[in-house]
Amino acid sequence: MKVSIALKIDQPNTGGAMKAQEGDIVAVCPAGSKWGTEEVKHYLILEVDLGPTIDTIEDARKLMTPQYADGALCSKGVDAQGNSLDAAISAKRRYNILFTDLDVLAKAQGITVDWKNVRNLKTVHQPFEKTTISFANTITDKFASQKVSAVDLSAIKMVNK
Amino acid sequence: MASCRKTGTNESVSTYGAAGRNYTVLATWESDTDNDNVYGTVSPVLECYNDASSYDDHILMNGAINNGTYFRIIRPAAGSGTNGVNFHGGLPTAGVRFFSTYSGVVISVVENNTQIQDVVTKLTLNNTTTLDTVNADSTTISGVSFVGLLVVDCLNSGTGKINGITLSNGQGIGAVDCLVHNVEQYGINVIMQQAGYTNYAYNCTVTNSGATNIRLVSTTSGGTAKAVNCLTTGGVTSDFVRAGGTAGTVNVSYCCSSDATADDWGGAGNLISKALTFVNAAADNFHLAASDTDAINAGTDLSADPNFAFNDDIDKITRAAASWDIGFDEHTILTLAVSGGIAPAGALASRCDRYLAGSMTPSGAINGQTSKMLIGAIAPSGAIKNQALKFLAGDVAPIGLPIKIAAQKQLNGATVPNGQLARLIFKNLSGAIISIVGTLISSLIVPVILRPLTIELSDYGLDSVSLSDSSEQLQPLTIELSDYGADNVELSNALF
Repeated sequence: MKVSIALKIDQPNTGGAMKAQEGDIVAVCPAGSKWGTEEVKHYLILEVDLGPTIDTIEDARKLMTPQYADGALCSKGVDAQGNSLDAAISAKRRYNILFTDLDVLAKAQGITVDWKNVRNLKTVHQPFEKTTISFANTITDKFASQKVSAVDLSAIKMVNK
Repeated sequence: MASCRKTGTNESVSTYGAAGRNYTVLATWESDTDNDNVYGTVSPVLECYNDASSYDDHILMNGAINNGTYFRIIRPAAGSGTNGVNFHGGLPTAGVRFFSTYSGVVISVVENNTQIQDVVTKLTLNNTTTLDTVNADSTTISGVSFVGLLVVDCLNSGTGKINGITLSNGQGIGAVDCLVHNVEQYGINVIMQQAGYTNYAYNCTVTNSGATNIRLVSTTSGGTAKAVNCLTTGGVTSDFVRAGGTAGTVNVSYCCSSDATADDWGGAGNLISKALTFVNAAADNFHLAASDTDAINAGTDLSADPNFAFNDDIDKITRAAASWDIGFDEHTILTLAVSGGIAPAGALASRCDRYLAGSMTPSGAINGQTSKMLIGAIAPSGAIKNQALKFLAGDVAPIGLPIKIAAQKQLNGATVPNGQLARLIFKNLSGAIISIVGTLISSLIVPVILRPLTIELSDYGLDSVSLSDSSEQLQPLTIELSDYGADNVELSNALF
């Protein structure tokens, strides 16, 4: 399944306690989604092919999950008494796509990326808007410190099912 | 006196909705505003438009640094989106609606002072996880409030369950003027597990929960789980229950239940075993019916409450001082002066809200009727045309049927009492035509400052809007008068 992903662009640190970091997958929408006027300035938009394993947008959105201290792949919800089963959130997002990886990918595909322009939050600069990127060797699982594989996507899909 | 809808200092407003708005995903706005708002002296606000009938979206608000002056707010925008008015008006079929299928809480707040206002939420899943639809869950947060939320029809068709609103731990978090209807397990979960703090549900209406409508947990001495002015009916297991031991304090007062549980922990003013009457429960309209004899005037005034002081209801109507109703709705009593019209007779003379004045209940087309006033949530099954109407108000128009009011004196002499709101709203007019003939003029009865007066025409069709044009097609049309000053508002029209 192909999805449209919004990646965090580094912003001046204004002191939020748990801000997303550059490259974090902040939002996942169906491929072809139209983004808002601020979103196209503040986020790097990519179309990513997640392969055949993930076949619903609900499962794809699990890539937006925060990073739980116990490594849970998404929220465990609450117990019968209403108490949260989730460990503490240790980072705003668990998954990201490193801009350094994108730079390598862009050069391999002959795409010119002006990263200074990408990071200019007052202008729209979406160098990957005509490109579809494979998830393979692209999406990083920060908790596991490794790239997400098809096996990982299968685990993400099946969590809580 | 204060509205339960807070405004932040130095608000920085962004828009949410379809492409063309600032944001199309809640999480991107959340990430952009996840800042030290106190240091930045700014209150980020997301104003949502109902450009779609619903959004499959969710948000975790976590990490912004707020205080009681600078904090984040999500609320409907004023006016209309492309799908009609943005404010739900207490009806889950309207307004800005977040209907999520993602395996996570639809709206979760884990930061201080954030307020979520007046949106509709639904969570539907098919998995093994038990989740809240809306929650605030942290031992360290304070000042979070959910106001005017409608949480409806939440179901996990797998082995997991879904709750409505959970207020867990925290240092003073609450739900105010909310409706929770038809959720799978607990409607509202008020949980306090630390000493010295109170979580609260105020003036909420909770109906048809699969287990318990309002569940109170207070496990620690000195901590309090509190419910005041809450109206509950149809909880499958019970309307109220206490769980988690008796070490802490449970405070239930001026609440009403359809079973015998509202007074199980003492407390003043509780009513039990009541058959409550709503405007149209089958259509999810849980506004109090005019015929209600239990909840109306049976609540307690919370305008000076130490946890959360407020004085308005789900419809943003100011509650009647010293005679608050139980539940999310303050039954509105409007006196409408109708020029040349016929006032309702007898007991209905001063209660012109949400019913058809007079004795006419249309079952077919309304053609050439002599009724002078048509008020409230009325959905005639036939067309309305060429009638001698003098006034048409309320919030439900016929669906898919033509409305033609030609050469009439509509809107003539409608007086809005202080603090009340009168609306003329046509919506859901698929394929319908509204013809307005004449000119609309607003004026003050007395020459004092009026704030605010809003007359709004919204047109998202292919045509244009003109009040003085004789054959415009409007979809939707909203005319709203708001009067919160010391004066009255009058719509007068002498040109018909």
